[in-house]
Amino acid sequence: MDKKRKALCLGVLILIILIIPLFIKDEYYLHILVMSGIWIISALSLNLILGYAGQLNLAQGTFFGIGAYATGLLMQKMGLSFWAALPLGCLLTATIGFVTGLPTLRTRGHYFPIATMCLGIAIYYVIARWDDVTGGARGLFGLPRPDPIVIPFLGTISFESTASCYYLVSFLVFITIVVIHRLITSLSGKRLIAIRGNEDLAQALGINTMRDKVICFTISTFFAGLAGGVFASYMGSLMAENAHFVTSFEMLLNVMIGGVGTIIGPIIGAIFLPLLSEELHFLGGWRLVVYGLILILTIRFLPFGIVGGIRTALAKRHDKRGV
Amino acid sequence: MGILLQTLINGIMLGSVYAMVALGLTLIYGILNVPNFVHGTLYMIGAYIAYFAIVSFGAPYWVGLIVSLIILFAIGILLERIVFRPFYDKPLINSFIVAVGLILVLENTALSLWGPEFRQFAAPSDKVIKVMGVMITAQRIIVIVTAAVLIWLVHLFIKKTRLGSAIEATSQNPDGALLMGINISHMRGITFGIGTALAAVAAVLVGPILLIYPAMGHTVIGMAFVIIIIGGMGSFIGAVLGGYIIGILETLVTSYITNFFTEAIIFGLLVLLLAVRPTGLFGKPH
Amino acid sequence: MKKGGYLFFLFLMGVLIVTTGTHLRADENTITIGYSGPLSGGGAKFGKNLQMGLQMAVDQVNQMGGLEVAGKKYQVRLISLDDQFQTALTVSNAKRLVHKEGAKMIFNPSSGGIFGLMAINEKEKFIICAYTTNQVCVTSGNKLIFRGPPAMMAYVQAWANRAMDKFGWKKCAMMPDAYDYGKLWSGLFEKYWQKKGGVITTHIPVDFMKLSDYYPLLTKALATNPDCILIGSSSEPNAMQVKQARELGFRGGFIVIERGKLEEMLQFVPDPNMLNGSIGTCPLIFYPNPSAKKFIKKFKEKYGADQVPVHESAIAYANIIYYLAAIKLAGTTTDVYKIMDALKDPRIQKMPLVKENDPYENEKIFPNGAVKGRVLGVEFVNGKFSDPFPVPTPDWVYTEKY
Repeated sequence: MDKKRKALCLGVLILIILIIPLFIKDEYYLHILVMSGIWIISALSLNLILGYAGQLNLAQGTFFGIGAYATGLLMQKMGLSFWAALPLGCLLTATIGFVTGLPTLRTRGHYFPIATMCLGIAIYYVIARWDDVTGGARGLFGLPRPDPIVIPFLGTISFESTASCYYLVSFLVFITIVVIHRLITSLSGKRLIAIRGNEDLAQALGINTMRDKVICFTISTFFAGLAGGVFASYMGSLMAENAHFVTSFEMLLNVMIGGVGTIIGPIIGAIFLPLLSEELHFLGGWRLVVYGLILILTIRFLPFGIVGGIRTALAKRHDKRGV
Repeated sequence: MGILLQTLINGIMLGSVYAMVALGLTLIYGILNVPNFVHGTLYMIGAYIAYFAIVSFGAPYWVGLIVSLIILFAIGILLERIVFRPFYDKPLINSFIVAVGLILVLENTALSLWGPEFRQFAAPSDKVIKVMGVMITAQRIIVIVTAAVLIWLVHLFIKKTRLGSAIEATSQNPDGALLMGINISHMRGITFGIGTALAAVAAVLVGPILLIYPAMGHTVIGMAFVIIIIGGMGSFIGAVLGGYIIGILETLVTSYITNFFTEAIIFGLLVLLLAVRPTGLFGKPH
Repeated sequence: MKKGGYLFFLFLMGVLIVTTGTHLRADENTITIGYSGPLSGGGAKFGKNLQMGLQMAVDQVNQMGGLEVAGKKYQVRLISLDDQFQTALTVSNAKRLVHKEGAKMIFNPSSGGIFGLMAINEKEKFIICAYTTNQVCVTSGNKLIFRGPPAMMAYVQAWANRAMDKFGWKKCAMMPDAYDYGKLWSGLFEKYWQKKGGVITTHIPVDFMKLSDYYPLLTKALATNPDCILIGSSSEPNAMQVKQARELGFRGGFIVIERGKLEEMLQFVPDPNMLNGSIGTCPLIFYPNPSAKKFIKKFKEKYGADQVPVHESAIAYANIIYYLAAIKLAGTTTDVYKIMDALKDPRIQKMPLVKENDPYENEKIFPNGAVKGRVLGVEFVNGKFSDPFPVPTPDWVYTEKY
């Protein structure tokens, strides 16, 4: 595809995203879209560390929770505006990510997911039990929506409606995609992929794998925190469960079912899976049974997710035409 | 003194359960190369099968235990054959996703078929024995003794029989085992079966002490993971020792320090442990 | 890609398209009641008990030919969605129920979920039917909430009074559940108990969702030599706690927070005498009033003779009956404010639908949405239940902040 067509496609896509709320008036579907946006950011963050550095971080859901609680507490207890609390919350998450990344990234292979899972569980229990700060098992309530933005001469943008939150989240998704795309196409991105392929070899070639891994880990926790912070303000309430490793599992499913190691894969996964889970409600008690079966079968037949499946299919067609 | 002794016995009993669950988990780890998250769910199914044998069909407790053991052995073999085998040559995370899917399937099938009610079957004996100011029920002695005997038997089986050594070879070095002419696909199935059966036995042993319900697997699986990490994944002796250590540690922390931050402390210590010794206490270094 | 992969991919897309396209849209002649609660996971039994009560009310009204509102007949339907006690899921479910299924009322049984809903319900115009004894739900000024169960404070004081004045217990070890509800309850209890001159020997929150064995915690609690233990999970874990405490040689009594039911605990202890000296809510089956008896009969007809109805089912049932009666009284199925006014209207207690069916013969609904009902307590002594005693419920326990 040449550059012009690419730009055109991108433009059309952005246009579609912009006009969606004009057609979907249903509050429920708008809500699902906002949630998808939040899941997209978090899936992309996990994909950065998993897909490009090959490290399965099972504490990613916990970093989501840290970002959410940090943003929420900064707003509620310190009285900060959302626009100040969100970046601070993300920075705080990234700081905790950096500090905890140093010890956990020392582990290799299967021990890394386990070490991060333990980390996630430990932090989860701190959040769930630290009553004075986090509200403990009761959770946090009454978190405000983002403050209205005043644009001189044009009026104010308020974030009380779901549609306005949709635009905010879409904007943040866009930022996330741009930053992560830049990151992985730059040189350091290629080095990360080298780590994923063969860490020992990368090390032998003089690539400081530990430094790259820590940087990548820290940035990925930043975006997990971003997703969490938006979630906190949008939902208005938080529970310790939001920081549970089950949240990490959900992110992982989104990434894997969509297609790990690509940008579009986690996006597809984060839209597809929550929607599927919602739409299976008519099955009642068997809903999660069917959901689980679909997960197993998807990963069985499409080992590289939906995107992997589409790619192979396209490649096959291409081959056939070539012959 | 009485309290310390009581606490230690509580810890050993908890440790016996953990050791058995972790032993099964570590055996299966050798096959899958990823921790088998379904293990806790299979533990739950083991408890239900014993429940139906004992309460619905009126079988004696020990018969219930053996029925559950045999059925879960078969389920283990089937799961390995049907669900996990296609994933051996795929990225490891794929097996992990399959495990997550399987938990959803099994747990919610149990919920839909058997309902959310708590269930329980009676212990073979309700006696309470008092020694040196320490209270202990007959069932707790049964748990401790049976677990010890069973772990010993599994040890003998692996070390002294041909089938056992074939299993050990397969789980530790599949390529080498293949060269030695071992039918590894057979061995994988059998190991999976044995590991699963161990979880079932653990569940039936504590069945009269705990409650049986579809989500009961979650209560042991987290700790079982901790144990196989401490023990060094895939290590037999590590899993057993780790089981007892964590059982006693958890009880001591709960009784003497805090029961509010027990998990935060234990899991926090684990992260530190892994940072210092990235392959666990008993694991071989890289 | 293998052929299987292709087919599977198509299948997956098919499922999604079919399910998004087809869903039953409520027509104009249907009143939809939404329920979001724990239908899987550790709280599933609690969630199912509530669901049975809700479904029973809905089916009963439909069997009578539906509900006549302003001269038009309506059928009622219940849509239940699982939220596993997670606030984010509760809110998502509520949005689905309200905007997609057309529900004007959401029933939810967790204080977390209710707080989550309270943030949106006035804006999105739906009523919350709160199954909680948490006082904050009715004292925060939310105009679209009504709460079925009695106030927590009524139980706290009645149990404490009974324990001290009748049994003479002074030293209490608190072992409530580690979640919000247990925390609130034991907090109120501790203050009141100490005010009456009692001593709290230790406070050990119990997380029954993760804990496999109570011996370590009980060993710790019993070392403080309490006269009685406050326990507060659901019935079955409570029963295990009682059984294991007795095994460890405890001879004192138990104060059972109202979520646990003595009659259910009885089925999980090997010897009824283990429960001797327990104070708890009176089992529904011992409620003397005829409407409670009538409810039990109908419940058994519907769900089988061996199903023992518990308060969860009965309160949920009563709430739906009230809600439907309020719709009838208000003459509108859509104006939530009028429906709320009707709920608090004293005429509602005289409507045949309420009068004939309310198992508790609820006295009134306060302007803040709290339902004032009949509450009975009971003791378990000498291997059997004592006669029920009334739990005093002065108005302030429903209306004041504490």
